[in-house]
Amino acid sequence: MKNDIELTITEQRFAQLLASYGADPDHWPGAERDAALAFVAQNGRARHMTNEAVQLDQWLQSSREQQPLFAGLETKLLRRALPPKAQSLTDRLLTWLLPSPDLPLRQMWRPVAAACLPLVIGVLVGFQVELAPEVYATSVEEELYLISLSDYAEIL
Amino acid sequence: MTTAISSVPGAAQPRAGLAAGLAERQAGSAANGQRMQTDEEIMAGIVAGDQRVYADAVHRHARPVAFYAYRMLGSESEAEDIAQETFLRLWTQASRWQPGKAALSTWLHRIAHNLCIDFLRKNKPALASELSDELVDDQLTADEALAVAAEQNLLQVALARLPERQRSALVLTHYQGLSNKEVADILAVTVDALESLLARARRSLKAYCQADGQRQAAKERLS
Repeated sequence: MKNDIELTITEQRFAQLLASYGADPDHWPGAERDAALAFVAQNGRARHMTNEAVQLDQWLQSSREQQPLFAGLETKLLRRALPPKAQSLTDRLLTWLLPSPDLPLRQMWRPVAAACLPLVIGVLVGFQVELAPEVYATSVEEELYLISLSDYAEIL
Repeated sequence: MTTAISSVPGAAQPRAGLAAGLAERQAGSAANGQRMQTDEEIMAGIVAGDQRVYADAVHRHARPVAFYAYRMLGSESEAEDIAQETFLRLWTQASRWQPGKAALSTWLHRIAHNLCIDFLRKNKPALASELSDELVDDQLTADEALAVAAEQNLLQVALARLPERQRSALVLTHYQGLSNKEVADILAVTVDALESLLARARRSLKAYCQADGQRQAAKERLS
């Protein structure tokens, strides 16, 4: 009910609005604001109810003058050292793969990676080749089966 | 009566905190020909570790957060601590922010709210429980209120005596200028429940308001 724009408002609902949000229409829910303002304009009793709420609003408003200035707050916040950002998994993987130049082993990293590359390729090729005999074996079995059928037919 | 009612639709009273700060910065940026960054751009920059974007976010949102914490805790230094912690979390947890779910200001207020509640629970356990909403007196008589705050800022005393959820609801709605849906989201309650909290808070404050009025009148008579 309160999500859609209200075209009219009951006195009971208007009283609830005042009790909850006070007399300042800026604080009223946007969906009911126009209807509530129209209600006030047309209704003397609503105006009287509003006036009662105004007193409390003004009292609450008076404390704005007494609030601290928080001088230099932003500077204080920005002066504080920020912790390093927590890295995502991808970032951490990239950091591991590409170590910082400050690391003493960095000079060795690239030759080691280069040396490992043929090994990785060999393992990958090995997996591919390993699958081939199974395919071959299956096809030989099928071929033998066909030959045997063929021989049997010749004997007959 | 007419005076009061005519002031209602105008509602041109200055709003400290979020709205005023934003308006000032928008005016300044427009004058400099700079475009205001959207929440999405700010958060993307912070997630990427851009400290200049973070500084912009601090300049835009720090004061509203500090004002909120001040009204919740009643102490300037504690409010600054809450603001510090809130913005530290902005830096470290920016990736958790979800664009469609809440505006950045709402998200920051939620963090500050949780920090304030934690602080209150650690330091004022008697006021902290959910039950406190029921246990703390909803209304004081005018005489009691006068006795409590003879020479103090009666409004600050009145706010401090509100149960924490009522105080949060009132401060976020009345002082921080957030919409009822945003406030309900921060407090993790429905809009109906928020309205109930607000109504109870205002009912409690009314006694203090009347007492303050009497005090002012007495002062005027004496002078």
